[in-house]
Amino acid sequence: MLGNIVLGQYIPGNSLIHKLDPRVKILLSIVYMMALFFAWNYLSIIVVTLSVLALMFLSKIPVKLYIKSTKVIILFMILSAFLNLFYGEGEPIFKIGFISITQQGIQSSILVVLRIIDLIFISSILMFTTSPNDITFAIESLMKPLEKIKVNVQEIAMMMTIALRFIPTFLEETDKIMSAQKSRGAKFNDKSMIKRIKSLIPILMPLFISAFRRACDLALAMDCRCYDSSKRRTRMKTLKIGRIDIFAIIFLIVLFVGVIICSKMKNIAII
Amino acid sequence: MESFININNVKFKYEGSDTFILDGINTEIKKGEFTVILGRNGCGKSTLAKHLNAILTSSEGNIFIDGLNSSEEKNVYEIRKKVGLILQNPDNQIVAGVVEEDVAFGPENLCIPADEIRKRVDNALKAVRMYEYKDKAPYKLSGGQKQRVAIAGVLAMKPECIVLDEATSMLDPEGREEVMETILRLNREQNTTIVLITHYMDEAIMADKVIIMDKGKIKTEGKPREIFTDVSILKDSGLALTQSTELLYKLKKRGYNLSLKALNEEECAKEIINFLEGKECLY
Ligand SMILES: Nc1ncnc2c1ncn2[C@@H]1O[C@H](COP(=O)(O)OP(=O)(O)OP(=O)(O)O)[C@@H](O)[C@H]1O
Ligand SMILES: [Mg+2]
Repeated sequence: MLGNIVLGQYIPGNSLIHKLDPRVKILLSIVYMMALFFAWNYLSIIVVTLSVLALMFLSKIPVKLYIKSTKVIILFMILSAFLNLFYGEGEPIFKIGFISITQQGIQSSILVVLRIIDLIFISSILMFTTSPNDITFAIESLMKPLEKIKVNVQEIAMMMTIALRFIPTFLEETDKIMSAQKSRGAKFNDKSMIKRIKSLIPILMPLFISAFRRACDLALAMDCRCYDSSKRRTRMKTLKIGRIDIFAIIFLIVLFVGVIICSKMKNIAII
Repeated sequence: MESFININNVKFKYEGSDTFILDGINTEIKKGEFTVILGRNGCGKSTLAKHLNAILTSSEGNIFIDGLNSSEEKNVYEIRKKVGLILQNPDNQIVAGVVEEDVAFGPENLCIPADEIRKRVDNALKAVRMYEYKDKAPYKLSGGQKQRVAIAGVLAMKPECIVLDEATSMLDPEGREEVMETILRLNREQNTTIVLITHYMDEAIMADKVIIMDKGKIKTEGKPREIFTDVSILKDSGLALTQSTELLYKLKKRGYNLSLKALNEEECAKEIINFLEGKECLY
C-alpha cells in the first residue's frame, strides 16, 4: 500500500534537461526563482512563463504530471489570488460597499498565480529530471566551500545518502508491520480520532525498534568497510560541466537580464 | 606459508552476559590459505568472524592480523583494510541508494582515485554477475542479489583476506557456484586468504583447512579429508556428512568393508567400483 509512494518524483529519461549537470540545474532553479521575484509586470512574467514552458517541453515529461504537481497548492493559489484582488490602488473598476477591485488588484492577482505556477513548474522540472542521489551529490559539491569554515560537508552528504537509501526500506517495513498487526485483528480505519492515533502505537513501536537495530547493523557494516567520517574520502562519480551546461548558463543569464529589462519597461496593456 | 592471522587463547563475552561465547580459541590461519569454519547455530562463528577485522575485540587473549594486534586502537583501520568481512544479513549492509555507488563506498573510504574505483567497481560487479543492475536501487533487489552486491563491495576493496560469514546463504545453486569460483580464483591467482563460514559441506571440501567449532571452542581442525571422514566428530558437532561419506558410512554399517576416505562423488564411485572388483582402496 505504502510501497507505491515513489521517493522524490524522479522520472528517468535522457532528455537535454536530464543530461544537465545537477549542480547547474540546482543553481539555475535558484536563478529562475530570483527572476520570478523581479517579474513585476505582464511582459516579464510572460517571458518567464514561456521559457518555463519551453523547458518543460524539452524535459520530455508528460504535461499531465506537471499539472498534477500544481494540485497540492491549488487552494493556496486561489487564496492568494483572492487576497491580491483587493490590494490595489487607483480607480476602482468594481465596487460593492467598502470592497473595491482595481486594475492593479487584478494585475497583481494574475501575476501572483502565474508566479506560483512557474515556481512549481521550475521545481518540478528539477525534481522530475534529477535523481535524488544526483541532488545529494550536487548539494555536497555545492557545499564544498563551506569546508573552509569547518563544516563537515562529507558527513552531511553521507547522512543525506543514508536517509535516502532507507526511506523505501522503512516504507516497506511499515507496510509489513501493518499487515502483521492487521492479521492479529488490529484496525486502522476506526472512525474515532483517538482510537486511530492509538492504533498507530503498535506500528510505530516496532518501527522504531527496527530502525535502531538497522542503524546499529549499518554502522557495523560501514566500520567493516573502513568508513571514517573524519577522513577525506575520494568519490567515484565526478561531475563535469559540459557544453549543454554552458549553453544553459548563457541562456539563463540572457533570460535573467531580459526579465529585469522587461520589468523596468512601461506596462504594456494586454488585458 | 607464513602465518597471517594468529589467534591466541581468545575468550570473549558480550556485554551484560556471563557466558563466554568464545571460550579459549587457539588457531592460526596462513597467508593464502582457504579456511572453512563449520559449526551449529549459535556456536560462535559470527562472533569469531567479527574478531578477525577488529569489529569485536577479545576479552582475554590476543589476535594478531599480519602482525598487528587487534586490541590496539591504532591498528584498527589498517586491519580493516587488510581483512574484508561480509556479514550474514545483506539488508543492512548496503549504504548507498544506487548499486554501483554502494560498491564504490569501500574504495572511496580507502581514498583510491576515481578512475581506479570505476574500474574496480565494474570488475567486482561483473564478477558477481550484477553489472546490469549497477544503476538500480538496492531495495528493489532480491535477497540473493543484495548478497551479491555486498560481496562485490568487499571485492572492490581488494583486501588481503576475505571473511565470508554465510555470505552465500541466499544464493541459488548457480549463484553460489559462481561466487565460490570467484573466491577460489582470487585465492589461487592473487593469493587472497579466504575464511568461509558456511553450512554447505560441498563448499567445505574445497578448503585447505576445516575448523569445526562447538560451544565457543575449536573442536577439531585439519584437512577436509581428515575431518569429513571422521563420522563421530561430525555427528557430535551437529553437522551433516557429505553425501558420499553418508553413502559409504551406511554401506559400511551394513558390513561392507569400505574406506570412508572418499570426499566427492567421483572418489566415492571409484571406491565402490574398486570394492566390487575386489581391489584394495587407493587412498
Ligand atoms: N550482540 C549480542 N549480544 C549478546 N549475545 C549475542 C550477541 N550476538 C550473538 N550473541 C550470542 O552469541 C552466541 C553465538 O552467536 P553467533 O552469532 O556467533 O553464532 P553463529 O555460530 O554465527 O550462529 P549461526 O550459524 O546461526 O550464524 C549465540 O548464543 C548468541 O545468542
Ligand atoms: Mg552466524
